[in-house]
Amino acid sequence: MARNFNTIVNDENVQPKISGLQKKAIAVAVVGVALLVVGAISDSDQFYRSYLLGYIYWVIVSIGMFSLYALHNVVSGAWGFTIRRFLEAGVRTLPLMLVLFVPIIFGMHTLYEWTHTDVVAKDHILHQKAPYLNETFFIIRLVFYFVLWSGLGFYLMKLNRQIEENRDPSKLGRIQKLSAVTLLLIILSGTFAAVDWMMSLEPHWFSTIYGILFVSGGALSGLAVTIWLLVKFRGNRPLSDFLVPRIFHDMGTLLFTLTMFWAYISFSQFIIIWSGNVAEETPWYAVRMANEWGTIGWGLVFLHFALPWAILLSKKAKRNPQILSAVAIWMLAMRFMDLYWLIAPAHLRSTFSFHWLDIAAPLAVGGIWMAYYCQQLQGKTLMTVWDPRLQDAWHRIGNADAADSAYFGDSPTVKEGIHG
Amino acid sequence: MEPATQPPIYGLMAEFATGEALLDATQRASNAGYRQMDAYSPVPVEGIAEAIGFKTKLPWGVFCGGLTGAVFGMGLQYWASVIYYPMNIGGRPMFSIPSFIPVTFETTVLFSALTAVFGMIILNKLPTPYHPVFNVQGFDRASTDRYFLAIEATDPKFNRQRTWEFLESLKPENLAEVPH
Repeated sequence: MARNFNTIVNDENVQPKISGLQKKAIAVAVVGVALLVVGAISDSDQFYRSYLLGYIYWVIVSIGMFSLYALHNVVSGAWGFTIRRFLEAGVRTLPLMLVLFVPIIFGMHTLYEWTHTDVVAKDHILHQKAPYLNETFFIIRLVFYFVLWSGLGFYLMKLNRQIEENRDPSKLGRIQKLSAVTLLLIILSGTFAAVDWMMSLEPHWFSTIYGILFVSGGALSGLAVTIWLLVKFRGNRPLSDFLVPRIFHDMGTLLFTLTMFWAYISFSQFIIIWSGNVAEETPWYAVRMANEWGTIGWGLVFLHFALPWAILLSKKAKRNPQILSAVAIWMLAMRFMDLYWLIAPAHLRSTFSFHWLDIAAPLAVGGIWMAYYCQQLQGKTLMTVWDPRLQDAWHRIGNADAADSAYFGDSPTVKEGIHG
Repeated sequence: MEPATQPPIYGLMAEFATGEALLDATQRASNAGYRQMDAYSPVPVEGIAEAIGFKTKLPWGVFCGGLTGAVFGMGLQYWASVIYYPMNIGGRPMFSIPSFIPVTFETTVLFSALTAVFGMIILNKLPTPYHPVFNVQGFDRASTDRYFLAIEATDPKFNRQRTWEFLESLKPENLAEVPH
C-alpha cells in the first residue's frame, strides 16, 4: 500500500466532485427558497415555525461538527485526521448560521409567546422571567454564542493550520488544552442556546437536561453528515490511501455511542419528569405522548434508538462503509423526526398536522448550508497534511488492521476504481 | 539426533522483544499455515487475537447474558409490583414500565458483565495449575517485558525440525522447545 506521509495531496477528481455536490446543493437551495417564499406569502405564521425547524436542524450540524472537531483535537485518534477537513468546513459554516438566523428574529413575535407584552403583563411567571426572556437580551445572547463559537473555532483552526503548514508541532499542547475548554464551553453555551431557541417556545416549561440533549443530538447530526461525506470521498486520494476498515469501525463506534447517549439523555429527562409528576412539568410530555405525537414518540424509541443501535452492535456492519453510510443517512432522517417532535407541538398542541413547509424549510436551509459548506471544502486537501502523530497513528492502526482484515475477510485497503 | 529417541514436546516457543515483532511473527506463522498456536504478552497487542486465528463465541454468550438480565430485571419488578406486593404509588399503573427501565438496564449490564468475566475464565480453562509453557526458561518475563509465540505440537503442520527452522527464520531473541 502506497502511503506517503510527506506528500498528502488530492487526486484530480476531488475538486470536480465537490463542485458537483455544490451544484446539487445550489439547485436544492433555489427550489427550497422559492417554496419558502411562496409559503411566507401564503401563510407567514407557518413559514416562521417551519423555518425555525429547518434552521435548528442545520445549526446543530454546525455546532455538532465544531464539538467533534474539539474532541478530535483532544483525543487525536487516527479517525480524526481523516475527517478533520470535513469538520473544519463545518466550523466555517458558523458565521453563515448567524446570518440565517435573521428570519427568526423577524418571526420572534409569531414564535415566542414571551415577546407579547400584554401576555407577560398578565402572567406572573413570564413576568418573573422577563429579565432573561426579552427581545434585546435574546439578540445579545444570540450574537454572543456565535462570536464565542466562531472565535474559538477559527482560532483553533488557525493554530492547526500553522502546525500543518510549518510542520512545527510546538503548538499542539495549546490546541489540546484550549479544545478541552472549548468542549466545556460548547456544552454550557449550547445549553443557553437551546433554552433560548427551543425551550422558550413553551416558556412555562423547564428542564435542565434539555441543553445536553440539544448538544448531543447536534454531535449525532454532525457525525452523521461527516460519515456520509467520508464514505462519499473514500475512493479519492488522499483518503483512499489512509482509510482502513478500522477507521470506519471507529466512526461506527462513535455513532453507536452518540446514539446511546442521545437515548440515555432523552430517557433521563422523561423519567425525571414522569417520576416527579409535577403539574408544571408534565404538560410538555402530556401533549407529546397523546395521539399522533405519541406515535412519533414511540417511533423515536424504536427507529432513532433501537434499530440503529442493533445494527451498529455488529462489528462487521461498522466496518462496512456502505452500511455505515446508510445508518448515518437513516440517522439524519431520525434527527428530523426528533426535532419535529420537540419543536412542532409547541404551537400545534394536541392537534397533529404536518405542513409541506416543514419539509421545504430544512431543504432550503440545507441547500444553502451545503453549498456554503462545499465552498469551504473547495481548494483544500481532503485530510490533515502533516501532523507529528500521523505516522505513529497509522503504524499502530495498520498493524492491527491487517490482522483484523484477515479475520473478517475484507480488504485492508479501500479498493481502487470507485472514483466518482 | 534421531526423532524417535526424543520425548514428545508441547511445542516450540520463540521469544520477541516487542509487541510488533510478535504480531509480525504471528502473522507469518499464520500465513505459513500454522493454526495451533498461542501468543503471550505482558500488555494487550492490538490485532494479535485475530492473527492467531482466535475465534470465540463469547460475544454471543454476553449478548444472551444481557437478554437474560433484561428479562430477569423486568420480570422481577413485574412479579414484585404487580403480583406479589401490588401498591398504589401516586395513582400510577401497577405495571409502570418507565420506572422499571433503570433497574432493567442495570441488570442487563450486570448479567452481561458477569457472563463476560465467568465466560472468559471458563473458556480459558482457568484455573490451570500446571501449564507446560512455564517449563521454558525465561518465560516469566511474559508478564513483564517479553513477547512469546508458541506453536503447539498438535498442529497438523507441526514438524519439530521444520517448525524450528521456520521460527528461527523469524529472528527471535530466543528459541526453545517446550517440554511437557
